[in-house]
Amino acid sequence: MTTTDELRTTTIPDWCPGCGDYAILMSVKGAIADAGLEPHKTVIVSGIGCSSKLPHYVKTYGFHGIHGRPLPIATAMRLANHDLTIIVISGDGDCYGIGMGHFIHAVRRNVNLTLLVHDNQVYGLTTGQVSPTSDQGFKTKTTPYGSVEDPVRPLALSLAAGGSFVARSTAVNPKHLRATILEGIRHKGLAHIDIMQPCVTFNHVNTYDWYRQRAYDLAQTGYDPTDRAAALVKAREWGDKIPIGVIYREERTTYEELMPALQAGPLVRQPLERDIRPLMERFV
Amino acid sequence: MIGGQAGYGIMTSGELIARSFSRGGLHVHTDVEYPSLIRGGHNTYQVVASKDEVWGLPQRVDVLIALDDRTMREHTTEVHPDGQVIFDLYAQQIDVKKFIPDLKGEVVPVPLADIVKERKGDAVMRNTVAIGACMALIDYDFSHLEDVIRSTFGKKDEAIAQTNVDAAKAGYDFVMDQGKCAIRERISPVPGAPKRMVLTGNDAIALGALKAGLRWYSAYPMTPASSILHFMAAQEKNMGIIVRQTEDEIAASCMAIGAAHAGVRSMAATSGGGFCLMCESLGLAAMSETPMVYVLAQRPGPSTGLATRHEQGDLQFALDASQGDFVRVVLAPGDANEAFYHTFKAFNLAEKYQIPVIIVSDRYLSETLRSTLPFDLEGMKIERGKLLTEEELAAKGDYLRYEDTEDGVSPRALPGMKGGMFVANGDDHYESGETNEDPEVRNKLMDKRFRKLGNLIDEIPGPKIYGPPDADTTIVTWGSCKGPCIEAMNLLNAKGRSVNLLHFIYVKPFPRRLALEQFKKTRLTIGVENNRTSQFDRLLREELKVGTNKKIRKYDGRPYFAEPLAAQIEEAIG
Repeated sequence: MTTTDELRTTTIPDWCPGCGDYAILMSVKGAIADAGLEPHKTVIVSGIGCSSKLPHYVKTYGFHGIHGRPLPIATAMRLANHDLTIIVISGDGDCYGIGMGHFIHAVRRNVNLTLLVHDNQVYGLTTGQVSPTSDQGFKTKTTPYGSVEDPVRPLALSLAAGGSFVARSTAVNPKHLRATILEGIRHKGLAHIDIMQPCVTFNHVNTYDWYRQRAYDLAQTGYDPTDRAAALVKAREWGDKIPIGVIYREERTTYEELMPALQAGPLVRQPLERDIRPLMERFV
Repeated sequence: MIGGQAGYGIMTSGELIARSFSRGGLHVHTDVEYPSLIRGGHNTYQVVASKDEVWGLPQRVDVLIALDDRTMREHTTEVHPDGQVIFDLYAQQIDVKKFIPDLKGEVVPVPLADIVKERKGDAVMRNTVAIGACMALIDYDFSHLEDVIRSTFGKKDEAIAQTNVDAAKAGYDFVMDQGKCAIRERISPVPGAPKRMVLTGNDAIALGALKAGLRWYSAYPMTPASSILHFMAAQEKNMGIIVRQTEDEIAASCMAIGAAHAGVRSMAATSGGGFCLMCESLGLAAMSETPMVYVLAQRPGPSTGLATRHEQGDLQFALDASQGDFVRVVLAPGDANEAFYHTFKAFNLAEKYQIPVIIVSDRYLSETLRSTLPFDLEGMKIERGKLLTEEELAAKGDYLRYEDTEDGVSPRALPGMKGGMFVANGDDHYESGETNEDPEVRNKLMDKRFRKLGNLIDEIPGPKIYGPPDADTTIVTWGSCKGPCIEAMNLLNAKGRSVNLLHFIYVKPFPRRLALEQFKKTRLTIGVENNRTSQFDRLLREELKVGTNKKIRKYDGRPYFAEPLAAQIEEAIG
């Protein structure tokens, strides 16, 4: 059994005091422990942003890459060694801004990994600019008169791309978050969890209270997460009431199940030596 | 030369001709010209066959197969006075000499379309009839063509193979019956010649990668790199590789990095435009010390440039692509044989030094077929460098992924190994992988990464001399210019000039000592390269403090041809 203590590293997080990332970090560690994952068989892959520092704070393998690209890196890592459990840490800028293309493609491929998007509706690491999920009218350094753009609806996009596990949770409800991440880890396929998260430094609109007042748990409403049509409506619900929990789930063939090379076991354990003479013969 | 509209099967025809000659024991070399169109554009395919090794195309055409009027109009001037033009019989109805006043050769009309119609064949088979006719003109043993047709089409469908053999034979017999057999010099097979492969540089790169143990290949289609993707995709099941066509080149490179990080040998290939998109992750491979092999198959830029043409204009780009300073290997094979061995070596270098290696090809190397002896696989050893086993890792105790070692290379653990947990990092970091920005740590890790150069440079082969060692004039070139330069050198030496060739494959790290040794022996040096600004010469001046004495450049989207190149070199010699 892995305990959350074993997952502790000596690196001290440099997030702002009160940042929602702390609750997400705790929930990730909790879910890894709950799922009984072995730390050395777990890889946390991140991009760039405040959220993406998280791999340094969990004692597993990690890959802290470049902005917007954790999904392609993680996709191939999983296919190269499908004994590994992969958790991708991304943010609203990393995943829905610069990395949007990869997001849609990873979802449609149904890569077997858990995608956690720290969605605080603002750019934190670059000190407060508008984000793809910022609400209209949101004022930042780059939108001094308020954002004019209609925000990205991550869950609706995920569903449209054929997502097999589409969920939302929030850093203001760590218990719900831990349980949702655990479900995501256990899901066979890509589990996309958008995590509403306060940024205490650069977002003074979407605060702890703002999320607390609006979030309601779908599981307590008799909602059926296997109904895709209903899910599409739920995915766009945003305003005075914001649903959290699993919006949609289904069993669908995963990417790795379609790779013929993996029938012989994890790619990384297949030998490097091979006979290419029959191939050469074809050119004669 | 065979020419016609795109969609006429020009590429297939050219390959059939080349392979027929090779089966008869001849050396072959080809080139293809096609615009960025799928149908309706004008394509030509040239094949040269010779008893002696051949390195490039001559400018004259001995036999022209013109499948359309445009080929007649645009290429008949290239036909040698003693040459022939195979044209569909309906051309008899017009006065060819009036239609094409410049035509020097003889027109040999063959009822290509009628022969196909008689056999109820697909119109595209006109080319097969024409190839048969061509073989009769040069009195070349028909059985070689038959063999090649059967092995090319027979895999899919025996009946199709037979129809094609019949069509070719009909063309062959037609010419024979007209008494046109061997109206030109015969091309005789060379009995007892060793079997040779006929393959492109891209084929050789793919084979080299497979020999090296490649298990992951990701790419986005882009000429002239795409045929590697096609080759790999066809081998996915057979060779146990994962081949992915990605959403863009950013993903192609990042996926390859992810797979490499997990411990499999991986590669991503593209052309200049796609390489632009790969640049950021090229730097990630360097900073995270992930072994990576890239193929940059050049075409003329800037921007989309000439999408299906040839140039060596990305050398300086490859040398310095991506932000920041880091150790990389850049190598540019001169032919398919070198492409095979040095792609294999690229994987060893990438893994031993945990760095990115860039193989620079170009349209000419990547896409032209050439005959090459089967690769000698003896002694090719896969070297994985300081890749730890789980037992070695356990014995180490405290593990630091980026340990500051004497040779700059840190022992490498793979995710999944007990006791090796670390964070691979694109931010600069401590030896552990933890992000750090202290000046001392930055210097320490930066210097560690650069210490890899110490051993790496000893593994970098120097330039090679072709021709007489103490010649009066030395042609200096790199990459795929090797072939045309050898041909030009041979032409000049046959005329009594004294010329040799200095050819570079490895350009970064630059083999300075070995290059200087060679340069010391030269008198007059003439740089030859396929770009506007003598990019290789800029590298020479940076590394050796001296460039070549004279420079020849070509940037019209076409490779060098031996005769005009020889003339330019002669003019430069003065």
